[in-house]
Amino acid sequence: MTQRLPDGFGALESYCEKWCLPDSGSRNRARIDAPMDELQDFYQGMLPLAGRALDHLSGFQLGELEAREADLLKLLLSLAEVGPAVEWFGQPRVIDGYPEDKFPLVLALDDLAAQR
Amino acid sequence: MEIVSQATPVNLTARYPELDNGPVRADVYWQPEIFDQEIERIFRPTWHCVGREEQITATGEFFVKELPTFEFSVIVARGDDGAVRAFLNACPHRGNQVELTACGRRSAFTCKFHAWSYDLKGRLKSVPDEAGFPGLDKAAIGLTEFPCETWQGFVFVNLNENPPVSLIDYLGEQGADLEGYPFDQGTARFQFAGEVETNWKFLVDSFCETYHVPFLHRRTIHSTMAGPDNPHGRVVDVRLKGDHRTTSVWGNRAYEPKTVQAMALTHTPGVSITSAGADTVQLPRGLNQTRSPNWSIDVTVFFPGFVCVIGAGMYFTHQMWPLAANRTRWEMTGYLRPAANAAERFGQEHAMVELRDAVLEDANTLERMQRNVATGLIRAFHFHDHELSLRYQHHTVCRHLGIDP
Repeated sequence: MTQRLPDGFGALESYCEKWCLPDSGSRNRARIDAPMDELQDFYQGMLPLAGRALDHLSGFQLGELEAREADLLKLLLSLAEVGPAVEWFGQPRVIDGYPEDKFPLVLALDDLAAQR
Repeated sequence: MEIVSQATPVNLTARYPELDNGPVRADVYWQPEIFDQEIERIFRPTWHCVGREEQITATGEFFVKELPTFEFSVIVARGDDGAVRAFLNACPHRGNQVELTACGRRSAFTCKFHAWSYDLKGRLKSVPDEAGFPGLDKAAIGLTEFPCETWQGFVFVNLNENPPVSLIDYLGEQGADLEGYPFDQGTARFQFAGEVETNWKFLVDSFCETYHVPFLHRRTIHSTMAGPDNPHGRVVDVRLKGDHRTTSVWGNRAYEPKTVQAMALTHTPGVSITSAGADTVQLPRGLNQTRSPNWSIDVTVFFPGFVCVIGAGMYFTHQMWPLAANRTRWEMTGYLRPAANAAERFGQEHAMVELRDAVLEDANTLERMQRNVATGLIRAFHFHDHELSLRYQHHTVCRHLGIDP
């Protein structure tokens, strides 16, 4: 298997296929379509390394990320999406939530591009 | 405990002798005839925020903004003289939409139908086969221009040739209160938008009181906007300024963030709606005017439908576009500081997700309320002292319509 993440983050490699996604909208769809135990597994699997991953990425600029750092950031962005499902709701969707597709994200922040 | 006194006691409404504590009529929230009056007397005369100057910094840069209430769009463009102008997005030739792209940069706007072309000041520059229009006075033809003014980087348009008040007079003291906030630093923008089957006032209301937070938001922002020393989620302060008003929201400084939330806050400080006890020294005097150490955000409503939610490290806006008595287009735009490094991108995403999930908790309730009040069986509403912002909106609407509250 090709290494997708920076050295030291091998324990997260197995999440890349499912959770390195193109944009915020696709992350939200992945969250609400996933069974809760899969969200729990991803959340719990990410936690031990998430702090170190953020420390690592704090040394990089958006717009200049190598492929491995980019994939590491993508995983963290999915963790940001999944976090409230675990920490707030205990289910994939907002409880009694308004349908996401009726209040969609129409302007997203780019995941990787430089911001100014 | 010193902090206890920071949760405001029940006495806000009493500051305003023209307001009482009694019930208010509910029909203003659903009667179609009243809605029609609101459009003509409140929404048509007023100034509408259409975007930010940062969206068009260079000559020829433009964006197109739909005004859903009025069912047309405007082109907002930066001219070669540096001025920002707003034009009806319609070709004077035969009415086609001139600009079909959401944003970009052009030296001229050219209609796709017959290629009539307009410069950045909206003047008609070229007409194909002009000889076929004998006597055509090109100098007298141009894109319809609307009064367009900016304030703190927000671009406002008015749909009247002669606006009833200037933008600065419209914003008044409430606008002056916010001047100096670094709105221009929030260049990392995101937006959610959709139609909700509810009256525009219900949507505005839902962001102007925190009385509902311990209940409707018990899983999410409850523990940040209420706490053991403020169990009912009372606000810090409400201030009424002209037709506008600001609610200063209380924040629980003892709140212990959840694990992922804590990582976001650590790596992107101040970006979250759930922050409290922020350093406000650098902020304009009008924000957190009481200088409460428990301040989290100010919710300022520029009447009627432009809501600015302002924190120390981010702000977002809600814009409510009434479509019918029971239907509103809701646009929520977040403005974050650019990420200083790749880790901060994570905090931005988390802030966006939290905000979205928290507001998704609101909208079903707003639709249920609308269905119920539209039966006519609910005749009156009762506002808590700390729902003063809602009561004042009601009074302001009734005053504009010339009806009793």
